[in-house]
Amino acid sequence: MLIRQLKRGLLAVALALGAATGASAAGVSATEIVLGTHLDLSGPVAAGMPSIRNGMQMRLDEANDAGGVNGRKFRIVVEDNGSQPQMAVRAIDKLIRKDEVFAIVNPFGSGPNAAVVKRAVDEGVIYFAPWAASSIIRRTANDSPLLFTVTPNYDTTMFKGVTWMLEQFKPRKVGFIYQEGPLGALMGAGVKKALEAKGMNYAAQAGYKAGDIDFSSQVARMKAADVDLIVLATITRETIAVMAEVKKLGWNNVRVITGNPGRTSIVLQLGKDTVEGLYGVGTWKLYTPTVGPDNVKKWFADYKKKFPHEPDENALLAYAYADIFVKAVQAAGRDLTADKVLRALQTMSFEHPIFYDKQVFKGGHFEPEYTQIDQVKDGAWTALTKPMQ
Amino acid sequence: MRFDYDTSYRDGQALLRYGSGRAAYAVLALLLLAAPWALGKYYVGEMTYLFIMCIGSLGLMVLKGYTGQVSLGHSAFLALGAYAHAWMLGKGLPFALSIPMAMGFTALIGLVIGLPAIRVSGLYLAMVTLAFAILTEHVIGHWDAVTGGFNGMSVANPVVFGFDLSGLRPFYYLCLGLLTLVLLGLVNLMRSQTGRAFRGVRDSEAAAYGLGIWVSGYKVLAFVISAGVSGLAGALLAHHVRFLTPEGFGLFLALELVLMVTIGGLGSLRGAIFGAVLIGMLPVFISRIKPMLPEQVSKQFGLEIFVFGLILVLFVLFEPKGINGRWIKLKTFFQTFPLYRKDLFKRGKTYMKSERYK
Repeated sequence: MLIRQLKRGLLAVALALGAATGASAAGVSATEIVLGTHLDLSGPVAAGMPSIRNGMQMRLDEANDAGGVNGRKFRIVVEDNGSQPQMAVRAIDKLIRKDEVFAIVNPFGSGPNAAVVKRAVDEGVIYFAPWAASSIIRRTANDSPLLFTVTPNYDTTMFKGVTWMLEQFKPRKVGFIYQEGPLGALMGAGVKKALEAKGMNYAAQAGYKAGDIDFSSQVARMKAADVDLIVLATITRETIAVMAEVKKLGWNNVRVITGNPGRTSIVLQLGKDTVEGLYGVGTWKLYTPTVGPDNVKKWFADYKKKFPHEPDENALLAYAYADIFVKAVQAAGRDLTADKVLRALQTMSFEHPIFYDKQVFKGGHFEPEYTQIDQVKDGAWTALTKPMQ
Repeated sequence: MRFDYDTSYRDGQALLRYGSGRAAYAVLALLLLAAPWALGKYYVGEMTYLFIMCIGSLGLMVLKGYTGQVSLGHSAFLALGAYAHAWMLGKGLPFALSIPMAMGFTALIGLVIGLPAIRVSGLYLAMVTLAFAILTEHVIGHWDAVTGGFNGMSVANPVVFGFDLSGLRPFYYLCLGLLTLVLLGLVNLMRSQTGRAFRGVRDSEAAAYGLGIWVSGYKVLAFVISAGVSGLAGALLAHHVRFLTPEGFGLFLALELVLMVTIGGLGSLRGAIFGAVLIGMLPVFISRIKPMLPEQVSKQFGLEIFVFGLILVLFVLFEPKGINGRWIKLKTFFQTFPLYRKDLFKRGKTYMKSERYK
């Protein structure tokens, strides 16, 4: 700590003398850029975290192996937020005050991100690609220009998805199972809007807590209300559990649609037969190690070589987001400052096979947003619609 | 060995009887006052957090350590304190008024929750308080108009007489000051008639009853005091996290508090501080030693919870009196050297369950 402070002091003196063009932002030295992230390493969704960490690590390692960006190598500090706001606060305090990171990249969780985003942007740290309910994070951060949100807005995508379902299948009664927290609140807002536009309301609602594993009471409530469409604001494991419960009851005349966190290939891998027939609101393209363009297949193969577990699209997504950040840092040039990275992110456009289209940051949010409805048919997500804007 | 030679009644009543103790606490006070100027920003923030957890731990210690009432729901009192304080600040109430009012509010809720405590004890009380914690979290999550629901609620900066105390150092001193006040208040309360009554109720309700102590009254009083102190911790925690969400006051926090008082040493305020510091620092310590562990261990998820459990088991097995018990034994060992006996602290008389009236 002391030595680092001393080094910093010396660097500042050197700068003042005009002798060097070294550090010009927190976390940036002549040879290194320090990034930070906080993931749920010990809480209810810890099982999904290696994908995100490894996907990001893979892109940063590639940049480092290629000699770094403008001579600087990336180093990432990973902290645990345990899906707990207090733990996230401690993690972010450590990242900002002790590791003095240049940016927070790919932090996970709506609750933890909402709890800490203001702290980070108030300290002048770039907050990039939180995996969270974007509009809530934006509101919490007072729309700071340092915040870049990438997760498609849950309310607008759910609105489009549910509207499509209502028009297509004309359900009589709609039920809603949601995770308590920003995710459920935001998705619920979109679902409610779609229902109200058609002059309908929820026939039944049931919430659950992150980490719950039994969904029999929620599904029973849906069954008691005799709904014929269940909308799920769930993540992976819960989506499968609800479907399993529906199948267990032998309840055939009901359609189930899940939001974008549930429309993933992991749900297929883990759920197998139980998720057959499930509808999903998709906001990015799905790939598997065998399905996709050649460069994505190669990516899956490379990932498998590098890390000891199966790649999924969260890993690919984390890779894609990290890629955007690396490109922006590259564009900011040798004399790296937070302002220059901000400008690069605001003006550049980004492409990756996982996105439906060329993406830009408009007002700090990733656009355009596409919504596509898929259904699980014969164990694979099959598109029912084209990507709708 | 030390022999007391009192020349007045005041000597016996002094908080710190000996020069060595006074010197030690003076050094500690100086160190704590100087810390924000000597340590890095991160450490000052962490210490502030530890002070807040110390207050929370002290709150639970009054209840669990002094009257033997188990509460698995103290996270709810922290939550109520935090939300009440944030709400009142949002309505424009000054900080200096909002803090005591938040404490008063949680104390009032403590009174309401304390009333069933006269009727149930032990495991059943633990269940009542647990249910209360879950209920509180649920109400906070769904009462959007007041709490902002799951979308959260931001907390205004603490401003006292025009001074913004939200900065790193001012807030450190604020928390240190309030912790000192709470600690001094509780130390004095616990050696007063009330404190002795608390301990009487804890050790044997029948005996206490026989001595004319109003058992149910003191049980509820302990709940009220404990809730009020926890409310203060919650209010400070609100400023520390600056953004409140119901998930922050879940069962994990309640369990942490129980661990703090149990590992620290039940029935001792010093133990509450020890426990809060140890349990509060544990996650940081674990993440620090992680890089030194072999890859297979360090990359495992859930390591923190494993270590938490392991420490609890080790303490229950080898030092049921907690860190404070170990500390007292160590101190006595050196003070009485070489006369220390192994069963010096063995309790001569233990009370049976059947001695509880009811």
